[in-house]
Amino acid sequence: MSEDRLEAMRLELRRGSLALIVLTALRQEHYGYSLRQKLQADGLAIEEGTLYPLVRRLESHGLLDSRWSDEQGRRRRYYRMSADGQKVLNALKQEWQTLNKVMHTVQESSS
Amino acid sequence: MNWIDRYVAEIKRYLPAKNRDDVAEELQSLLEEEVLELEADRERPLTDAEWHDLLREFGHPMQVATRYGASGVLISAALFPLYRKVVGYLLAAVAMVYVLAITWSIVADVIWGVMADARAVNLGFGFGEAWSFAVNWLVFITLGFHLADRYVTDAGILKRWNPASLPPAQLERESLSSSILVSILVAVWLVILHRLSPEFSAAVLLGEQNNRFITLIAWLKIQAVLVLAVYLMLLFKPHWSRGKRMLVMVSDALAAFGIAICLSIPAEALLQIYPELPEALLRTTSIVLWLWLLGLLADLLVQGYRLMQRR
Repeated sequence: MSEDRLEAMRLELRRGSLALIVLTALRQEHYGYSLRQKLQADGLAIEEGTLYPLVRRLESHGLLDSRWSDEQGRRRRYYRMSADGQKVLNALKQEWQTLNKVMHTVQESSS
Repeated sequence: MNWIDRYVAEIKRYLPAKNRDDVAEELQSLLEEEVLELEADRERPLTDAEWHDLLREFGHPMQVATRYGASGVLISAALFPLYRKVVGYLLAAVAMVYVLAITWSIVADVIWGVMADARAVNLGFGFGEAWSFAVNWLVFITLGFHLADRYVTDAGILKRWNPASLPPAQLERESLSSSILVSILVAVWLVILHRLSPEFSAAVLLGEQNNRFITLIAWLKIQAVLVLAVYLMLLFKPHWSRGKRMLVMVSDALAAFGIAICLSIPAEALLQIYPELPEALLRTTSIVLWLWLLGLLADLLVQGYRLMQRR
């Protein structure tokens, strides 16, 4: 398999999981840069060009609430998970756990 | 911050108007944050090369705008296979008709000694016309699919499809190549008929002009249109359904009816219109029309019998 194909599959696998991770992280309020720092500190290096648009998309779907703030002399947009986001997160987590379980079962039954 | 201003301004060009300023403002603030952090780490302002690296890593302005929802879909993935098929047929058909027209013009040149190019242009299939025809239809087809796409998506048509509408597997299939070939031949036939006589009216169809020639052509045009419709349908659903068989039978029946009308017009009437017509040819027209009529009727009987058997 070519490197490009592998990279495409890796990105595809990550895409869904990233939304889950970002929603989880945004149970606490963050602005874009601080969210990226937090994820990096937790072990997930993610490009700005991927993270920031993802956050916007989640917000446009109503899963995040946002507000502009001028605290500390800097204009920043803060995000936090909305009530709808919480519901979606719960459902996604359940799906994630099911997939994990299935993955283990399939792996064990085919080894 | 000159680099950020330039970068964000370029991204703005590709963003949709409804959230352009909002996204741009946020991007500006995020990039400024990144730069401040980097400069604090390095305890100096960024060099131009470092700015370039930062922006390159962030992504090409068009790519960034796309991630922020600037991308639109002209034709969705669900309809794209059909769109590709239709465009493929269009281009193949135009190319084949063009080749046929050129071949015909060369043959005409050899047989009649007329200018090959003039023949091709007369048929309306000069290269320029073929090209503009293809481009025009490509635009119409793309627009049609774009509009249909919304309808198909909004109405959830593909989700509500009925498996009962699948054709039975034992239905006779028509191969793609023969469908394309017949469609092209019939289309060329139609054009030739129209060039021979563009007249088409109830009076012409009913033979009121006492001219077998133009009445026959008018009925043959109807037959050609119906056959063309059937073969165009076969391009997309390559099964000979009962409806398609019936449509071919109707076209044959109409042609037979038209020939019968032609036979009711006295052959001598042609002499008044074409005085130079040889008498031998005049007699031949009636024989040809009778044979044609009998052939069509025999074919209708065979097809009707087959249709009854398949019930």
